[in-house]
Amino acid sequence: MTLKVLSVDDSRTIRLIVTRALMEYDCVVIEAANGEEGLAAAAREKPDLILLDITMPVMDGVTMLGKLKEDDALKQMPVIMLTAESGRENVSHISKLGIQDYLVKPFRAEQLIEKAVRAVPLQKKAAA
Amino acid sequence: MRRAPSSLDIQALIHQALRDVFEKMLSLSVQPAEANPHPEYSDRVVGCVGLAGESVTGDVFLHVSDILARKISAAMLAVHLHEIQGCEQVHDVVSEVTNMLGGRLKSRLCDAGFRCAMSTPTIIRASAFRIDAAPELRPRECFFVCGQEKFLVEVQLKFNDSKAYDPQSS
Repeated sequence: MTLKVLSVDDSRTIRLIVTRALMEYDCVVIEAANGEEGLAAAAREKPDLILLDITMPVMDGVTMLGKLKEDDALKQMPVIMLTAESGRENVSHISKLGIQDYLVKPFRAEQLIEKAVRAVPLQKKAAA
Repeated sequence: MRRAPSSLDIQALIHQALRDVFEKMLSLSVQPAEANPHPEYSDRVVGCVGLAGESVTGDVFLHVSDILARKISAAMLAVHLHEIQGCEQVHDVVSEVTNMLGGRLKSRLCDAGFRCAMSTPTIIRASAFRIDAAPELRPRECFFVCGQEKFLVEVQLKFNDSKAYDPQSS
């Protein structure tokens, strides 16, 4: 089953890294550059997993997450938050937001895969 | 009493953060370098993030030459150097590296009791300019080398709670 993964990050580089990391897996990656676009994409695409950056212009990840949780149709979507901030308070705060997991930047592609596989039944693509 | 992280701590912290970013996301190694000779840039890309809180404010600048910025971009995007075209990709990569550096420093400051928020990164590109710190800021320059390229991380911090700041620690 092909899964849909929504990558919400203002950095095109990070979105590219996420897409590349998931290339070997049976999924389609949809991209959004901020929380506002991410919220619209979540409602439209109904992704199986959302990878959500915190610090973004227009609408940050925490605000987007809050809006997801207020929407009955979207609140069950698993979310992995990406953050450049590994401070105790930040980690403690985001852990309480009803997310599946979080990943501190910088990260290796394997760490991202490990967390994504733990969150949703992501399968490797069958060899051609 | 809260203690501001010492300059040595900040240098070590920046080195650790850079090493993490370079090794995990770029597969490049980075080493501390002497300040002299000061790196000369014909064209320079500078990433900047701001920190702002009640007890600490400041900025983190990552100064890299255009060629190092391109090498970093190629490494992060896993493409050949010649595939890096124009400035947009380079600026995005330098922004992200600066964001990760700033995020690490912010985290350390918050853990030490100096709560602050971090801005989204901005980029300055030019051939000849100087960033002067305001007199109350305490600039720290940390030099590094990646391959043949020397570069600089500049941290300017102001601790507003003077009672909390221990000058002996810096």
